[in-house]
Amino acid sequence: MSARNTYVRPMSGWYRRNPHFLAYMLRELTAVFLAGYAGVLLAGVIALTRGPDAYAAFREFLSSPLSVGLHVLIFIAALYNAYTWFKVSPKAMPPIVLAGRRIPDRVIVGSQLVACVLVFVAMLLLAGMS
Amino acid sequence: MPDRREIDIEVMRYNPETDSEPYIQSFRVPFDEDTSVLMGLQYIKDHLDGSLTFRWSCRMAVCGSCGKMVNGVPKLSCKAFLRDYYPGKLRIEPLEHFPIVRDLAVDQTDFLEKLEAVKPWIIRKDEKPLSEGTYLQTPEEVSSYLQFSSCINCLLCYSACPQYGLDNSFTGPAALSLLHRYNADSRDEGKSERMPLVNSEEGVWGCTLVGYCSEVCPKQVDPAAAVNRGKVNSTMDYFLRFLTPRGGVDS
Ligand code: SF4
Ligand code: FES
Repeated sequence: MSARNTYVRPMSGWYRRNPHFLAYMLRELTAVFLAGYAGVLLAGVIALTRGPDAYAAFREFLSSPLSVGLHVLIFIAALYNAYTWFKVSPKAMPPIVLAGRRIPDRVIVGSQLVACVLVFVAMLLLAGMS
Repeated sequence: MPDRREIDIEVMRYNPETDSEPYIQSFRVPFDEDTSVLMGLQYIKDHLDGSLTFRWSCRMAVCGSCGKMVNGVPKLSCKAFLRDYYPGKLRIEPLEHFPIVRDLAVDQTDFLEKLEAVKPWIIRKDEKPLSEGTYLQTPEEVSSYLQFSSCINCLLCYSACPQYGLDNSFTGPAALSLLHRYNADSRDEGKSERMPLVNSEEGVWGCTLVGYCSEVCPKQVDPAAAVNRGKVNSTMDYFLRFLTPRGGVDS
C-alpha cells in the first residue's frame, strides 16, 4: 500500500468547540481556587509559628473585605468542584447491586449530595453551640 | 408524500491528490420524517456529486462504520435524523481526532492497533477440553462486564476525547473499555498480561475524566466508567504488589 496523504486537523481552541469541554475546563480551573485556599490555611499556620502578633495580623487580614470576597469566590468554586466530582463518582466505583437490582447512578450521586448537606448543617450547628 | 422539505448540508471535502487542506461544500437535500443523516449523504452521492466518500454498512446502528461529526457532535449518521436539525442546517465532518483519508473517511489504523494491544479475547491458563463442556457464569458474573461488551467500535468516543486528540498515544475509551470487559469476566485469566498496559501513562492514567465519551456512546457502554474502574484496579494492583509475592493480579 502506498503511503497515504492524510490530513490531520489542528487541536487549537478545542475547549471552545463544545459546551461540555468548557464545563470540564471550568472544573479544572476550580482546582486552582482550592489550591489557593490551601495556601491561605498554610499562611495561617506559618503566622501561628511566628508568634501572637503575626497571628493577630493574619486574623485581621481574614476579616478584611478583600479576604471575605476571596473566600466567597473560593467557596463557590469549591461547591462546583465538589458537585462535579460527586456527579462522576459512580464511574469510579464498581456497580452496587441491592436485591438483584443495580443502584442507578443518580441515586448514588443524590445520596452523596444529601449526606454532604447533612454534614454541612451539622457542622454549622456544632459551630453555633461552641 | 405530503411532507417534503429541503435542508442545507455542508460537507467537509478533502481529496488527498489535489487538496492541501479540507474545504466545505454545501448541498441542498430533500428529506422527510424518516430521512437519516446517512440517507442525506447517500442522496448527495446518488444525485449531486458521486465523488463524495464516506463509510457505512448496516444502516441500523449495529456495524459502527458510519460515525461522523454532525454540527460538532460525534454521531452515528444512520441514527441521527435530518428532521431534528431543520430548519437549521447541518455541518458534517469526518470523525474528530483521526487523520482524514478522503472526504468523510478517516484512517482507523491507530485504533485497530490499540484494540489488538488490549488482547480483547478470553485468555485461559489451561484451556479445558471441549468434552468438559462450557464455562458457566452466574447472572451476577455476566452483569459485571455485559455493558462493556456492547461496544461496536464506532469510535465516537475517541472523537469525544480531547486527551486522545492532544496525544494519541493514549489507548482511549473504547479499547480500555474492552480491556476492562475481559478483565472483569470471571472466565478470563489474562489480567496479569493486561495490567502493564492499564498501569502505564498510555493506559487509564492518560484519562482526566472529561466524561464526554460516555455521553456520545450510542450503545450505553459508558467507557468513562470502564476507564475509571481501571484506575481503581490499577491503584489496587500497585499496592497489592507489596503484599503478595505475585503482585495483586488474578487474586
Ligand atoms: S465505547 Fe461506545 S462510542 Fe466508543 S467505540 Fe464503543 S460503542 Fe462506540
Ligand atoms: S451504518 Fe452501521 S452503524 Fe450506522
